Amino acid sequence: MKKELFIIDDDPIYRMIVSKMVEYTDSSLIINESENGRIGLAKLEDIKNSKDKIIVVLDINMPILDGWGFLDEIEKCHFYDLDELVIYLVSSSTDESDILKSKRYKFVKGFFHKPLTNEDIKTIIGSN
Amino acid sequence: MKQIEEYSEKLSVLIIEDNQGDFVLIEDYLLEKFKHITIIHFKDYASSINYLQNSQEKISVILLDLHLPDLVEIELINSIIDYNFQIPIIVLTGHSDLAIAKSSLQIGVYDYLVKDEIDPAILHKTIIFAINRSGFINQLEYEKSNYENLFNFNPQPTWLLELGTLRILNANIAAQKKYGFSLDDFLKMTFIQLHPKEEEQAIKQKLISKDDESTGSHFTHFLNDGKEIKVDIYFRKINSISNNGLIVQSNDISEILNHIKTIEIQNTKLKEIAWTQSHVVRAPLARILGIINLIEMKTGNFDELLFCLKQLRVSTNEIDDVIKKIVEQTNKSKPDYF
Repeated sequence: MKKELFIIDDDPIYRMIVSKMVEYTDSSLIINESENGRIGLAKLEDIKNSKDKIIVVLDINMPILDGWGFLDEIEKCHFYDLDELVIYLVSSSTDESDILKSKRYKFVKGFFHKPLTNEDIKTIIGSN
Repeated sequence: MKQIEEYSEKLSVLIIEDNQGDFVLIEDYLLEKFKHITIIHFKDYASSINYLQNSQEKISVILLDLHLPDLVEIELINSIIDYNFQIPIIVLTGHSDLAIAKSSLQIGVYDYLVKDEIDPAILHKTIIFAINRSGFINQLEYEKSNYENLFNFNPQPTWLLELGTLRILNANIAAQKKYGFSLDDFLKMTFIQLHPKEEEQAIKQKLISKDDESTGSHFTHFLNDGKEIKVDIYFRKINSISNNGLIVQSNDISEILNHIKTIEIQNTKLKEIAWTQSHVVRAPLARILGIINLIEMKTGNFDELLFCLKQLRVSTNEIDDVIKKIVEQTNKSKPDYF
């Protein structure tokens, strides 16, 4: 089964860091970068019904459509019938209220503070 | 009776009596009953008034015969009372003038004595009672003037309103000064007129229905020059024999509200700063740490290391800018009066 990683973050350097770290850890992964939630949604819609494992690393604060907006939308669209979809939230903020808010989305698998460590990356791409 | 027997204060009695026989008799009785007594005697109205107006002696009580050579009966009583000497008057009368004596009680005479019935004990008791009663009345007058002063010199604008209509019956000096209305202006107004139209219901509800719950917040008042102030309103019902009223005070809280507003603006700024700390400052820092993580994972390739260093430079510059911006913002949030 193919694994595909979607990095949705408005910071290009951060996207680069994450994709490099992922590349060093598992070079077989297909990596997709999106600079906001809207673009990320569109890319996921393109591959709907896919049976592949889809991992989303989602930033919270972004222009146009932020992480919370993305979560609301994808829930409304029934996750594009992606059977193997896993979503992780990441934020540079250490704001406690963001963590509490993320608990409202039962389908969010985890919450990470930036920067992602080597261990975090392994958890994200190695998770089932 | 014990108290009366022991009356030993200094007493000055003015006797206005043209009949020498009557005078001597009363004088005897007085000297018998009072230890420290000064007796002053005049035989007519004119010289008595002259004495009362000019004497330094404080007269405790006046004993007044109703038939003087220059003035008699009710006119005599009225004339003396008009001077308002604040001295209790006891009328001395014969049986023939009993009706006049009785009616004189209604115009301010303290008591009357029928000459044929006077004895030392009755005279003594009547004088003591009159002096005591005059003491109480004076005390009431003092209290009244004290309360008038409390009202007038209270630094808080204060009004006396008619219950129900909220017509202004009195306004103190602070109210006249603060609001720029004279007392005459105020007396033509109701309290409601100080409020804007949209508050009419609320102020009526507060002052007439005494419904404090529904109107917890403050009110707006217009001053005579059109200026608006925000006020807290306090009131109490007061009872008197003639009419029931409301005593109302206003407290100008415009300035306090301004201070609160300033504090709220500062709080918002502080929250913005906290948000910036949490999100904006943390972003490039997280990136720097991420780049270091990346270098630690793989440092073999020199070009890649150079690239990473360049990214570090970009991110540290960004942090520097953010911190400068925060300092600037913090300075801006300082209030003007600091």
